Amino acid sequence: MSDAAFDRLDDLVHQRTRLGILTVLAEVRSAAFSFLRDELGLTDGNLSRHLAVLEEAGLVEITKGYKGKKPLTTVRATTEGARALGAHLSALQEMINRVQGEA
Amino acid sequence: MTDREEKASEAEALLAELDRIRVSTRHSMLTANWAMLLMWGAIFLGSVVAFVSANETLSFYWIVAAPLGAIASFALGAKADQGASSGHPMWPYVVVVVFMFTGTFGSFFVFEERLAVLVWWLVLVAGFGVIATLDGQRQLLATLALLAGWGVAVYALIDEPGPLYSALAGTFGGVLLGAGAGLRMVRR
Repeated sequence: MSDAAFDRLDDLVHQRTRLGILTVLAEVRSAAFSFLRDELGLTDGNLSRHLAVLEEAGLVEITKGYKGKKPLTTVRATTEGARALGAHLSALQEMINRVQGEA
Repeated sequence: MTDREEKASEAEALLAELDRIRVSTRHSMLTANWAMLLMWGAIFLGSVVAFVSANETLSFYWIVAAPLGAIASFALGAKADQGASSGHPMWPYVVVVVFMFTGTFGSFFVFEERLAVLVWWLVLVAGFGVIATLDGQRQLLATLALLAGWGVAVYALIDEPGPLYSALAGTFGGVLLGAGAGLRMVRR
């Protein structure tokens, strides 16, 4: 039995919090930093760290701006990010199907 | 349990958690509209009050309330988008709102008064149905279909256009107020 599905899991995307971030971003066009933080129940520092990793990999785009006088950081998934999430979810599902098929 | 089975079991738990996050995100996007629903609920109930107090004030009421309500809706929608933007373009909403204004006002010029109230109701429900579809809230379509059926049933039961309008506008206002208050309560 091939382990292709296991091999296709991308360690960068497979991290639980980063998968959560990409999942939220798949539902919206863009999200404010605070929206992501509240949806995922993260601290500012934790979210910043994971966003930096995703941004460096080209999976999300971060825009810093202002809404009135308040700073507003918005995040959106890039095409590559959306593709990486889709591929990862397919690989997870395939892994489950294979193991269930073996049982 | 083998290593592969263990990994598959973890994958299942992870997919379930991602599903929960997906549902929660959609929920947050939907509940952001609570203020808009409360406002329109109040506007519809206000129209019943305006109609009962003086029959002829109803058209003036709507000529003022409908555009103001639409402007306030776009403002509230833009404010809700600050948290997370649905990314939907604005123009389909504008087209629907124009259709609703034209259809609801126009029905009273085209049809006799009692039938016009029914057409007004159906255009209103259809317009909200299109908005629900644009927002990806397809589960609301069943409620709107029930409301359309309710309008037809009330039309069959009430012979006078005035009480018919009051019953339908009161229903719609009450449903919107209830939905808005409900969404506000469940909003985190």
